[in-house]
Amino acid sequence: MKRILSVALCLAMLLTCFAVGAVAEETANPYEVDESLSGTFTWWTYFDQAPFLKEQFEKKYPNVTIDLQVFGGDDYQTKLMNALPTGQDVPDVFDLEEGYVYKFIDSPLLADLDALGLGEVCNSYYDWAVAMGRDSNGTLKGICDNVSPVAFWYLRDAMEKWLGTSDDAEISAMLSSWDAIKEKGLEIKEKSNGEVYLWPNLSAMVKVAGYSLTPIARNGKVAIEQGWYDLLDTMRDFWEAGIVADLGGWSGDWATAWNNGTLLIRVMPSWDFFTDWSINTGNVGVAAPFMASYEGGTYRAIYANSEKTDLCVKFLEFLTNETYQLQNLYTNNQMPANKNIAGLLGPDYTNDNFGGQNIMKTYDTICNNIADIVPDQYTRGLQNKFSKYAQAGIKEGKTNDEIIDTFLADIRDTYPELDFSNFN
Amino acid sequence: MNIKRRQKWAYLFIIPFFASFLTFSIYPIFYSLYISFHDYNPLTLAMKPVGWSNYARLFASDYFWSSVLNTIEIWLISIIPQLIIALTLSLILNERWVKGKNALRSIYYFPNLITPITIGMLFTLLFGYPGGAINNLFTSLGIFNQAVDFKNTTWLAKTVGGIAICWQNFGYNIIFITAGLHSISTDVYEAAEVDGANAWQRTTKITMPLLRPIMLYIMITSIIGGLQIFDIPKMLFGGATDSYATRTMVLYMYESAFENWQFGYGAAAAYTIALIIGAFSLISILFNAFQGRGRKEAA
Repeated sequence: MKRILSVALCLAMLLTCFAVGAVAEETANPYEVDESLSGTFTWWTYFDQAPFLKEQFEKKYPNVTIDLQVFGGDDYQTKLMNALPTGQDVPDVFDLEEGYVYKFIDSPLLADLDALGLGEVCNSYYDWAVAMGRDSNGTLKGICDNVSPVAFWYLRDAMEKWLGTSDDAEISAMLSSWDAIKEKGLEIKEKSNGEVYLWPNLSAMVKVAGYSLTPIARNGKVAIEQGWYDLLDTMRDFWEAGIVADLGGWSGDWATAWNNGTLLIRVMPSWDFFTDWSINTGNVGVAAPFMASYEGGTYRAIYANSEKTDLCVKFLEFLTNETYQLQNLYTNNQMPANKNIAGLLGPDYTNDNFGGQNIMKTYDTICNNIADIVPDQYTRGLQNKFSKYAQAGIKEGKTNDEIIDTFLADIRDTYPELDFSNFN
Repeated sequence: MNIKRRQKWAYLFIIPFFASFLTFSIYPIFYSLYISFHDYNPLTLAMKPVGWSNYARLFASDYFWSSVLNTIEIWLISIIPQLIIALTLSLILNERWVKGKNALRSIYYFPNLITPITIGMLFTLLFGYPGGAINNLFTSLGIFNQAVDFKNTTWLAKTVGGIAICWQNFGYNIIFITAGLHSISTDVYEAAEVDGANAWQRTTKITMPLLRPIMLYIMITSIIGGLQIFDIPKMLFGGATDSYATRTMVLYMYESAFENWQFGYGAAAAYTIALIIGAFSLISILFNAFQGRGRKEAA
């Protein structure tokens, strides 16, 4: 009897294992498996979350192997630049970061993705997210799978304490202009005896306003619209009011101050990695700023002479896929570039890391408000330089004209090919 | 085997070295000279001849010349204390009464084993604003009333760069100075003692003059190395200050070529930097030769 019982028990356990395995397999693979495609292709990236995409893609196409090569650091673009023209050991697919995508995008070494039928799969993308992947003739050369809308990141308990609410919509309404931010900043500074700051640094102001102002160089000509001067005035006003924490963005002090609640806002894109989730899971919130902008972007391109174009096209198609972008959102908090996903998730979507907030709704609002500015190779670089000279000049007590003069001197040196006739 | 046949074999053995030397050292030197007269697109490999315009742009660039000045300032800030510390410690460690000399020399040499990248990051953390270790320490001791922004205060940023380079290299110089001290015959010191020279006189009248060749070597290598400083300033304060205070000339060249992809301009900067370093080295050699001749004549 004992023997029968033990055999039955073993069988039951074995069956349970199989059942669990089957269920696990079913839940672990949300894709419709396609075994008809096979082969290997090489993908170069700098992006540390790339193994996730590789794993997901290989779940859908189990007979395709991606030879993924991840290169860290600044030298990635130099490596790519050296490899592509030679045609030797060239990757079939490669990633380009927003900061240098424009150096590559006009090159004929990047395949025309419109011609490969990939333009259509991006129809449901936010327009500005597709625009970054187009070359100066408007041809699609790179595709992203996520977007990087900039939001006000805050800790719920700290906001409850100092602003009386942790609701993102209420916070957005409270901080709906520079004047409103200044007023709240002064209030918090006074209440906390200067221990707590609402606003992190001057450069965060450029980050918020950068894509709501006409880019400083358009069609090769430099022009600085009044909005940039107004921004300088506002930055100076903030600085003189003493409401800026002056913690360098991305610095240890800045991250620590935010994580312990002595800095209330960080202006960061959705891929922010400075949150200490070990102490703040469920306590984080993101609110839409009153001006919409983005920071960063990873664009994938196909080498024009690749012999694996069919596999590469399937790969790029895959990353535009709603199912994959949802997995990427759930696992990595990466905001989908496909705007249908906000609708798919619906109004009831919540994210536990963010205290049950529907972050998709917040980000969708930001993404839909990003101005229709098609960036070029100068857009981000000039914003960064403007931010640098504005900060330094304001701290040194310079006038707007003095700041603009030093800024222009630098960009004349860096980009002599630009037309400066507006300033002669 | 006669000499001529042996010589043929010798040529065969040195071919690998010369092949790699010509390919990886000499060829790039001449190729970059060629690039410096072109507008070079790295993705199409297209070269558009532009004559001397890259050099003209460079010579007219205030930013290049300010990077040259930054380099010299950072070098001076690092080399002066570096030589004083290295010489003083070498002299102390050369005394018979000092215990644990070898251990101390090793300890002083340790910073030289650390990569410049690490040193740059370490000093960024030490001199961070507002919560770097130095700011925390000095504020808690009441030396600073408030945290100091080392990064964005021009002269402080340069000083931090100089201190980092000094800290990395003083132990390396101790090795050379110690070798120089050991090469001075004890007979000379004994003779001086017999003649009644005190320790100060022995140091200034014997040690220092006899260390001149080694100090000349240190100066020349320091000029060549010091004017090429790149990695510590690149890493220090995240590679950028609001005032470009720590942008050295090699960093300027790197940014032009590898960040802005202006390879022709970057190559022109590289050649100009080589000329500047050559000129400084020549001045140093001539200065020492002139001083040496002056002393001989005086003697």
